[in-house]
Amino acid sequence: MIRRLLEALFASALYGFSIGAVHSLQLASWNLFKFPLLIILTGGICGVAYYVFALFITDRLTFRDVVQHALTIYRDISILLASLSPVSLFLAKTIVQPHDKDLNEYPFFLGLNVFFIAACGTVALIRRASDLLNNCNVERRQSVLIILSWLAISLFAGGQCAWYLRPYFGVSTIKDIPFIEGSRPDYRGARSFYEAVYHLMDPPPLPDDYRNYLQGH
Amino acid sequence: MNDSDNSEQFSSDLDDASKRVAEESDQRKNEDSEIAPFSRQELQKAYVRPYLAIEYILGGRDRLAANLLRGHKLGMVAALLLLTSLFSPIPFGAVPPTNSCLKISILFTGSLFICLPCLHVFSQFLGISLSMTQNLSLALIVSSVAGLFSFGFFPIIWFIDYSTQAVSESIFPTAGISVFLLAFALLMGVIQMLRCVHQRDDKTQKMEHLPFILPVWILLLVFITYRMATVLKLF
Repeated sequence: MIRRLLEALFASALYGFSIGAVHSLQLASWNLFKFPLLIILTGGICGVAYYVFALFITDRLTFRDVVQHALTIYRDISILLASLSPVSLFLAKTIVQPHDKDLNEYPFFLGLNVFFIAACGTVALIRRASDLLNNCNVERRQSVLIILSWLAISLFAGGQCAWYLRPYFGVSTIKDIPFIEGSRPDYRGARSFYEAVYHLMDPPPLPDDYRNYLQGH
Repeated sequence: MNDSDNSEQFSSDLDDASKRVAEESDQRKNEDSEIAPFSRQELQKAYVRPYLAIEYILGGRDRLAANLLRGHKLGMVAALLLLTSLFSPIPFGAVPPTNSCLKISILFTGSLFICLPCLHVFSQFLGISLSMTQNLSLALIVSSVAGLFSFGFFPIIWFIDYSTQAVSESIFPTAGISVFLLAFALLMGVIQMLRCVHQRDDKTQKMEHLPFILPVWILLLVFITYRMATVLKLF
């Protein structure tokens, strides 16, 4: 179990470094700590809920099984993402960098990495669901339900963890970037992950000093 | 003639034997498929080791239903469910935004005790032969499972409150997220109770009307829990 944890931490640090490189070497180095921290924090605060949901759905999993499966999912996603880190690093260094008036290829880089994370997450979850089905004798419907419930918990709580520990990327024109933004409002005024998601669906107008924000003021 | 008599006798014996084997096999199958309720020793262990209580209530619903519906060791089961209902929501209540250890226990268990007489009287009136302890245990499944889910959510709500600094003008204040999680926990409790009721077997056929009463009673419980949340100022 410790080996899986170490693999997850190492692989996630690698991927974190590659995406942070789009801003600067400093942010890339910080991501070496922030990505493993994100995994530990999300796993830590969701662990009890994973167990409660798994027991509610099936009686075939013990606490140890739940920890092992959850850890393996994190490990699998991290390793899959780490395999894409050379691609991310290459793109981070070769995209047309944003400047004061245009974000250029930065949104493409951002979107591509969101796609990478979603794709790796999906592959890892499908694989884990089939393992539950085969190795733990959990019925197909139950294993799908367990994985979906874990995914929902991780999105609900892990989203806020990720939001709190942001930034991982960053427009290179912003110079004084903090190690973590914490609960500081984003440029649209969102103070949490949930508000940020809400703003995606119903975006408020950009503040007047948005250009200053882009320049790090 | 003798030969034919003997052969008829032999074939009739063979039929009897095969019938007997089939009956025994059916009986064995029934015995295998019959779910064993939790024994006294198992329940005693759960009092000492709370993680076993979590496993029994969430994961062992077939056996728990067997205890409740057959009336096996009901007192111990009811006490275990009551203790779980009272203690498991304490961590959720202790962390912000609730900041009161007892509020969530009162919310779930208090609302349930307000609605319990209604469940018992109506079920007796409609000929469902469940004792008071059986009704109590059945109802306590809702509060104990809701309590256990709130226990699972307490690190999450603590982190959300910590990381959003509980800004009151936020679109999604932590108190709102907390209420959402508690409502979800209550929903899971209701689902678990309904799953237990649907486990009934031949020995509990007298309760065939129970699934018709329960939805109405659940609506009442949800309404009273909502009112209790208002009284406890959880909104």
